[in-house]
Amino acid sequence: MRQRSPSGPGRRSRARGRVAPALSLLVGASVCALAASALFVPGFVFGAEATEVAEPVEATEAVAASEPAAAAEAVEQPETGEPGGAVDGDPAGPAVEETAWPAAASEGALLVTLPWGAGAGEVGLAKPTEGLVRGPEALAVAPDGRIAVLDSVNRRLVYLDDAGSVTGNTVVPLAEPRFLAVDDKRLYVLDCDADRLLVTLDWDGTLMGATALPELDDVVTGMFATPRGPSIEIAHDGVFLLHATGRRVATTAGLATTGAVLRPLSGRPVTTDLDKTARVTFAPGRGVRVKSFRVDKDSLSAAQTSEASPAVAPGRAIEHLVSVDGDGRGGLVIGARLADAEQGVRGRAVLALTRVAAAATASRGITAPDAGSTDSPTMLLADTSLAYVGQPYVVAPDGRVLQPVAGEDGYSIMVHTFPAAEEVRP
Amino acid sequence: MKRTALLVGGLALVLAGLGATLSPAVPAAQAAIPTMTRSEIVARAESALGLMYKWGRESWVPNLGTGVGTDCSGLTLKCWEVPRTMLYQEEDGENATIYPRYTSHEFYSCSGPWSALSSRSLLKEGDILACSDGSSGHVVIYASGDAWNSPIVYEAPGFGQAIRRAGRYLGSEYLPRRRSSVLETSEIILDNPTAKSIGGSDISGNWTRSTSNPGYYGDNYQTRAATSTTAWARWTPRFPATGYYNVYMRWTSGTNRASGAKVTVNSRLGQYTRSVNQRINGGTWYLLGRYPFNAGYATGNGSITIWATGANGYVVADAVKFVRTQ
Repeated sequence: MRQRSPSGPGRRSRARGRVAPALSLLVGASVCALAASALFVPGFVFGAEATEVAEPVEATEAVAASEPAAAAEAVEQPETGEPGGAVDGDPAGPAVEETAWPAAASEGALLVTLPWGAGAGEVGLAKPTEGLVRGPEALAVAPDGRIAVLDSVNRRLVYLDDAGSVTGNTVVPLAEPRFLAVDDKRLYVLDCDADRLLVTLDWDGTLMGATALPELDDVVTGMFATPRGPSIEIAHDGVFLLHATGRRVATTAGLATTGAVLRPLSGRPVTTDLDKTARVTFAPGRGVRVKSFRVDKDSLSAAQTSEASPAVAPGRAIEHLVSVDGDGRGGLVIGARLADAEQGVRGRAVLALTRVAAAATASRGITAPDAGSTDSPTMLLADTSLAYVGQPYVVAPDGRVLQPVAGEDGYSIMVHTFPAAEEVRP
Repeated sequence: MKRTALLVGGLALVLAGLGATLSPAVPAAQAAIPTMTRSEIVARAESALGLMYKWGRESWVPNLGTGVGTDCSGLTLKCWEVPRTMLYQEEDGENATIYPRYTSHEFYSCSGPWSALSSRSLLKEGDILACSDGSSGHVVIYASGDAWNSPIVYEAPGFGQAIRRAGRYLGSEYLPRRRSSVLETSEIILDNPTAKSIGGSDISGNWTRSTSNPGYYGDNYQTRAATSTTAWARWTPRFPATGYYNVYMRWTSGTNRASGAKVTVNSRLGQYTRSVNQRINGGTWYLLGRYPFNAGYATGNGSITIWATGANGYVVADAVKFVRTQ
C-alpha cells in the first residue's frame, strides 16, 4: 500500500470536474452575510472577526496633537499610460514581431477537483473580507507520479495517485504550512512564518522529524527536495541545503527540533539530484540571462558551467519572470508574465512557459538556444485562480505542467503538456 | 472596537441587500496627503511585523511591537499615512474619526490619493498590489523583487496570521498602485512623521509639528520644549544590507533651540551618544558619524534617537538620513 491516511482513506476525489452545488451556493452567498457574524466553518474560514479584545495601552504614550500638514501634492505624477508604454524603463522592452505560437491559453486536462471543505478528499478555502483569499498553498509531484497537495487552511496533506485519485490525508503539525517538496520517499513541509519549522513525513503519513528554520537573511521563496535533503530558496537569490542533524522519528505530541546546517548554493535547483542549478535574471529591454551551475555533491559547492540568453516567450514582450524549473530532460522551463496581458482579467493568457531544451553540451550544464530563436516550445497559461494557491504552476519531474486552480466548486489540478514539435534543439 | 466592526458590518448588510461593492462613500475631492519617502513606508511596515491580523483595525505601536494589530487595508493606510497626518503616532485610531477609512476596494479602484501603474514592472518599494471582487479584497505593500515566482511584500494575510514580510505569488487580479506625494530618493531618509515619539507625562507639551522656521525636510518638522521628563523621538529604518552607514540629522535652527541636544545611535556594536547644537546648521544634513548596522529592521541595534530630556532649549526632530559607505 503506497499511501495510508491516519484519518482514513478518502476516495472522494471528484474527478473530471463535477460540481458541488450546495457548497458553491455557500461560497457565493455567505461572504456578505458572514461579514459581521464571526462564523468559522471548518474548511471555510471567512475572516469575519467581529469580536474585540481590550486594547493594550502604552502607559508612557501620549497622543500627539494633530496638525494638518502643508499640502505638497503631486510631487510625482504616477504613470497611467497604456500597458507597454515607454515609461520608467519601458517594461515592454523593444518592439517585437508576433509569432505563430498559439494566442490562446492551453486548456489542459482536468486531473481532479477537490471540493472545498474539511472532510476526506476535501481542501480548505479561507476567504476573509479584508485579506488574502487562500486555498491549498502548495502542490508537488514525486518522480513516481504521486501527488501531494498542501491543504494550508486545514493544516494537512492530501495524497493523490498519479491518476488524481485521493488516497488519503494526514495532519501536518504546523500552524502555517506554506511550502512543500517531495520525492519518492519523503515529503517536506515548511512553515517559515509562525512555527519556523520544517517537518519531514513519508508517504504513509508518518512524521519523520522536524528541523528548526535558522535565521535567514531574507524571506523564503521556495523549497526543493534533493537526495541530500530539502533545499530552500531565499529571496529568489540564494539556495541553501537544509541538513537536519540528529533526526529522529517524532510524533505529533512531541516534535523534535534539531540543529540545522546551511550550505549556500548558487541559483535554483533544476534537477532532483541537485547536480545542477540555474540562476536566471531578466531586465526589461535586455531579455533573459541564464547561468547554469554544476554542483559538487561532496563539497556542495557550485561552479558555473554556462551562460546563455534564451528566447523566452519568443515574439512577445515579457514583464517579469515567474518561475524557473527543470523540465525533467536536462533543460529548463522558464515562466514569464506577458507584458501585454490585460491586467485583472481572469481567463486571459497571462503566463508564457518556454521550454528551453537541453543542448548537446547539456552534460556540462544547461546550454540554451541563442537569443532570437523562435523554436523553443512555448505554452500559454491563463491566470484563473480565485484564491491564492501558492504557485501559478508546477513542473512535474516528467515535464508535465500542473496548474492549480481554485474555482467556485473546489481546487482543481489541470495538466498541460508542451507542444511536441521542436522539442529538442540539435 | 466598535467603530470598524460597525462599519464593516454595515457594509456587509449593504452588500447583502444591494450586491454592491464593499466601498464606503469617498469624497470626490481628495484632501492633500503628506509627502513621504519610500524608506518611511517600509519602516512603518517593518514596525508592524509580528503583530496579529485584526480585521477592521490599523493599530500598532511603532518600534515597540505592541498594539492590537491591523488588517490588510489598515496596514496600507497607516504605512501610507492616509487619509490624514499623524496616524503613525496615533497607535490606535479607535478614538479618532478616521474618514474615509479606506478598504482594499478603495485601494484597488483608486478611490483615494493614489493611482494606477500600467505595469507591475514599474513597482517600486512602498507601492502596493491590490485586488477586489466586490465582496472581498486584499492589498499588500510591495517590497522588492519581481522574479522567480513571487514578489516580496508586506502584508496582513488574514485571521490567525501575523503581519509579515513574505514572498507571495499574486495573480493577475492584483493590480499595481502608487501613492501620491512620494518623495523619490535613492537614499534612506526618514522624515519626522515616521519618528516614534515619547513625550512623557506632560501631554500638553508633547512633540508638535511646525513650519515656522524654514529649512525643514518634507512638509514640516517636529519640536519639543526641554523637559525633565522622558521625551524623545526615534527613527528606525530598514537597512538593506549589513555595513557602515554615514548618519545624518536635520533640523531647523533658531536661538531658542538646544545647544547640546542629546542624540543616541543604536548600532550593531552598541550605543553611541552624541550632542548636536541646533542653534546653528539648520536646513542641512548634519553628519553625526559613521556607524555599523545590520541588515533589516531592529530598533535595539539600528536606530537614531534625539532627546528633549535635559535639553537647554527647544529640540527639533526633523529628519534623518543613512548613506551606506561600504
